[in-house]
Amino acid sequence: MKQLLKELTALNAVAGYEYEVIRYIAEFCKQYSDDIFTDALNNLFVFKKGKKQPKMPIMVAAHTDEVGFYVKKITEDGYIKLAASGNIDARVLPGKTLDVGTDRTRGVLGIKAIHLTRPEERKAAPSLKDLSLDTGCMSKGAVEAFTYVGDMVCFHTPFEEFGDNMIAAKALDDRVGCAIMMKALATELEYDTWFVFTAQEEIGMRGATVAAKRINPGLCLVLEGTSAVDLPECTPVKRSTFIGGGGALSLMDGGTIYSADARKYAMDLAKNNDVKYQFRTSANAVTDSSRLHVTNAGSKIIGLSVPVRYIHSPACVANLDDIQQTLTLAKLIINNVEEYYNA
Amino acid sequence: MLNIFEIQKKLVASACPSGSEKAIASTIAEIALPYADEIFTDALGNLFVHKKGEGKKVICCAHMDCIGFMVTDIDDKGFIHFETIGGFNPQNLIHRPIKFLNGQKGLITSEYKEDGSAPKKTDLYIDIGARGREEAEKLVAIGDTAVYEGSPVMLNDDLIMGPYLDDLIGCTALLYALTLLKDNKNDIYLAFTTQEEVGCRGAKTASYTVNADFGFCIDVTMVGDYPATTKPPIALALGKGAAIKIKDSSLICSKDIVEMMKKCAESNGIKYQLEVLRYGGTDASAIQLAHGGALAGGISIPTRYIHTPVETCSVFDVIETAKLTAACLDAEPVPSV
Repeated sequence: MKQLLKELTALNAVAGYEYEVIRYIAEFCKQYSDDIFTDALNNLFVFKKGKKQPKMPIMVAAHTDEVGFYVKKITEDGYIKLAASGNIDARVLPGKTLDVGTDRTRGVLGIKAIHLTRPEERKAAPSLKDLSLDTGCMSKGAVEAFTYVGDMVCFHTPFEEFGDNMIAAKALDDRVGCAIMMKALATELEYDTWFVFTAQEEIGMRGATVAAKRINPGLCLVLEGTSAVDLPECTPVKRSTFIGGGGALSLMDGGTIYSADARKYAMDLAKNNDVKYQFRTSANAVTDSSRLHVTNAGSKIIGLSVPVRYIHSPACVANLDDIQQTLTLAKLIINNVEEYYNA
Repeated sequence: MLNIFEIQKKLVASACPSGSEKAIASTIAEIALPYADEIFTDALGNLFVHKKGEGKKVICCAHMDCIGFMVTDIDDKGFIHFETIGGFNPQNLIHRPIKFLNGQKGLITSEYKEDGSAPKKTDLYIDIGARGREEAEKLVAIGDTAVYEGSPVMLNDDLIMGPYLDDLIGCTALLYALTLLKDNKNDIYLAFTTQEEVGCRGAKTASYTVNADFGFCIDVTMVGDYPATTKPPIALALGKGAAIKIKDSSLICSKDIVEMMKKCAESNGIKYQLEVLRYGGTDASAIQLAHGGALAGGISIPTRYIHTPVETCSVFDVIETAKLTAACLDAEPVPSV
């Protein structure tokens, strides 16, 4: 799992530019799948036969895109101005290293040095438009040699393993979901299952809007990386999820009220098999679930997420045991789906 | 003939918040059963009541979910932290009695604000009288949902007041309309929808399932006939009849449907007013956009103090709405060219 996450988080894919991740996942899945294809939005569909066909299709989804940027403008003196892809808190940006385009030309997000700023200037957080990406090039022409307006720009963060079984990387939202799907589909399954790696989640769940139309699932399982705000400043009721508690089952969020009976099914599986789980107690944010469960005639929906600290920043932190627990619960949900359908 | 007040009282007694509509669906199904050819549900919990016919396929939605509350956490002292389901003004919530769907009673209260400022949603919590976490966890669980406690009352011979006119009074009107249908030509689907209050989610899948030629919804709407009303004013009042929707913020009603509704009202002597609503969306938006699109509109029941536990409307308007609904269900859109 660690190696897989290391490789997945080394890939770059902002919304609309999911190619690297799709190619990598498709290559991995080829030997395990019975059908594999992409659609016009770059959703990657992987169908795997199990021992039996379930009463209604089951669909598992995670998104391939990550938060990042696009090149918005190249200035005459060789700076790159950026537009965000997804929600990024500009406070985490100054001083960070970014990779431009598929050739990964390195750049740094600069800001005026402290010596030349007034104290009141330093009180306000800079916005993205105050920041310029410096690739060391002194002219527009030199920059245009390796990129273009519209090109993708991603965080440059080497994968790290540290502390108590923790990892730090970019794009854990939602490569961690992709990795769990890949590990699950590499095992023998009880039931035929659709694994869908969705595109363009971070800019409005656009891949998911069309993805479920092909499948008409009876149950959707959405695997995500979700915010863990278990920081010293945060009281337990406001942390949403916490590291070490296992996968988080969603109650409701800005786009979905998760099916109570399906959540109960997942909770019972976890309890009976000694798998750790927790609840995602925040009702903020929107995920692919919001689109998937109201597609066509609708489906039941489970949200299961790995708690991730500092989500949507260059350095996200997650716990390998949480990821393992989430994978175990995801496999249980898939492999017992007929029990749920028959309940 | 159904009694509006009695039906409404019965529905309010099984009020459910968005996402957990099982109890209200079975109450409605029980009332509808003698009048229906077929009753079924879908993955989102929508309840479909089918009256077969050979003519146009019609869908009429009234949402059976209500705004409410969901437990997100329980603290060491046994207090319940919660999320609101649907739109609330936190000021309307303080010291309100509530009931969980398992019957547990409680009340919403707030951290004391020394500066006298209005509480925010995050300052609110629920007291169920538990002495500590352990006792609380025996009474309610994370994910459990609750609604306002309360039953409707008649303020005078016409005005009904209580929680959840939005949209249980629409469900009441739709049930009443069902009893008025006689030998219908059209193929009629009444959809008692779920999760309207969080974004018309039930109506999306219901409209897909029915794939109607045309459809409309029955919901409550704002009025401009009392002092604390909205600005700019809205030309609707209690007791002046059913409101034929021209637009709200989620749809512009198909002209053919608006004309059909006016024609049905006029030829049946039904009193109506016209609704141009600046805020708020309805299930009609989902009907309009399902599949390749459908003609869509709405009939609204003018209501004061929407989303509070003291919503107020006129029984006369409810009956006019039901009559107009029954007429429109078996009519055809009037082509406007």
